[in-house]
Amino acid sequence: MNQAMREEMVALLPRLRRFAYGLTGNIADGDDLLQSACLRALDRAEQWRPGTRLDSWLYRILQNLWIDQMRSGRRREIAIDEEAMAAIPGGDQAREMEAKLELAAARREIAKLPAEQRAVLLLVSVEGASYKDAAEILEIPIGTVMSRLSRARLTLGQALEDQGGAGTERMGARS
Amino acid sequence: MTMDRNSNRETAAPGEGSGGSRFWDEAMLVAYVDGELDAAGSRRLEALLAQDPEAQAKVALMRRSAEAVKSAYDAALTEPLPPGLAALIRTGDDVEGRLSAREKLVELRRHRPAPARQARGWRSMRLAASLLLLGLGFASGLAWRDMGTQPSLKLAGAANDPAAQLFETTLTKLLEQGATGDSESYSDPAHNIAGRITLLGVFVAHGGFSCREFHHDRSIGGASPTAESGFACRRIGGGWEVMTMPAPASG
Repeated sequence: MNQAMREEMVALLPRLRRFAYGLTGNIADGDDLLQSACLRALDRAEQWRPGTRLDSWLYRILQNLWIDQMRSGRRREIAIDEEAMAAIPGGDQAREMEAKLELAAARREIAKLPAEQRAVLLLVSVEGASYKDAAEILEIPIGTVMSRLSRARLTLGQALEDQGGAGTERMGARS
Repeated sequence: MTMDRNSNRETAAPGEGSGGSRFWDEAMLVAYVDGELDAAGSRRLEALLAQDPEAQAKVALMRRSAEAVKSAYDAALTEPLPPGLAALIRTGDDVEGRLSAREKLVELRRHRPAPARQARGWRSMRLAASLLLLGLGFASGLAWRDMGTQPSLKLAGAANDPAAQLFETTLTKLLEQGATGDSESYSDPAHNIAGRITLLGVFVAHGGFSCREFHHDRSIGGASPTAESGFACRRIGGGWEVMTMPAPASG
């Protein structure tokens, strides 16, 4: 692995980390996954084909590692962080609080999605991958990307819709 | 809900229609929302959408979820990265640098903030990591058995121990060919030996070591069955380093 590739990989870390966070549901587990993925990438650097996209290759390694972990039973259930709950600002920052609660609700609902829908959703709607990129990363046909994504987006949209003004309601439920 | 409509149509393509009288399907709608349709397709769909409240509602849900998801994980962008990770990638690893890279890995693991609750599986992963670090770095002769592909590299004593031999042969085969979750049983009725090995996760340790965790049940000579956990790490030159320990009581 040459130095330019290493630097590019370092520059990609925040995005890879965000993807890992989304897959596992919390930052700590996501960081574990990220580190394992980086080690694996360093280990297999010679398998990356120059001229292809490094980010797609790294996303794929991370995703495959996560699937391995799920299959081996390490990741049967995903632990969702309540980071937004802990970080509620006081006083008049109600709007910001509501936004954070909204994000926490989104994370909770995403965590309930089937794993393969979650991966597609994260790549396209969080990481900004095109359908074609997502298909390449996940090594599935583009039609599969679309059907998984449409289901994920409808389920999630419906769940958030059902919760309506979840912000205040959730605040009351907080103990 | 019409969502089930597509459940067996994993390969739906845009513009294919839904097979019914409808002009849209959900895959097409999401592609429209995400700007993945070409301009002509988009315009056509838009015109039709105007007359279809059901499709409009779906489009609204898809937009809403895209919006909700977009920045849900941005904390990962702003919080400081795990300490040492970037440095590890920059300095990398090679055969000479193995020990120092391992030390860096230890550092990484040590500095991670330890959350109060953690999935059990990951603790065993960390245990594996620390064992590897100790085992490979300092005590390679002690608990580690050399399972090179050449018979002459086999563990001393294994040649006279049919149970160990069977175990090693079966494990090597499984490691080379099996996927996570695969099991392989072995038995030798003449010596009253039976066992079963299951491949668990994959674990990547530094320095060219790609490792696999496995579970091993066996009984020898009619004694009550014993369970062990083990790790097998691929060696750079070929073959496997293997370590086993009694399985945790929790299984």
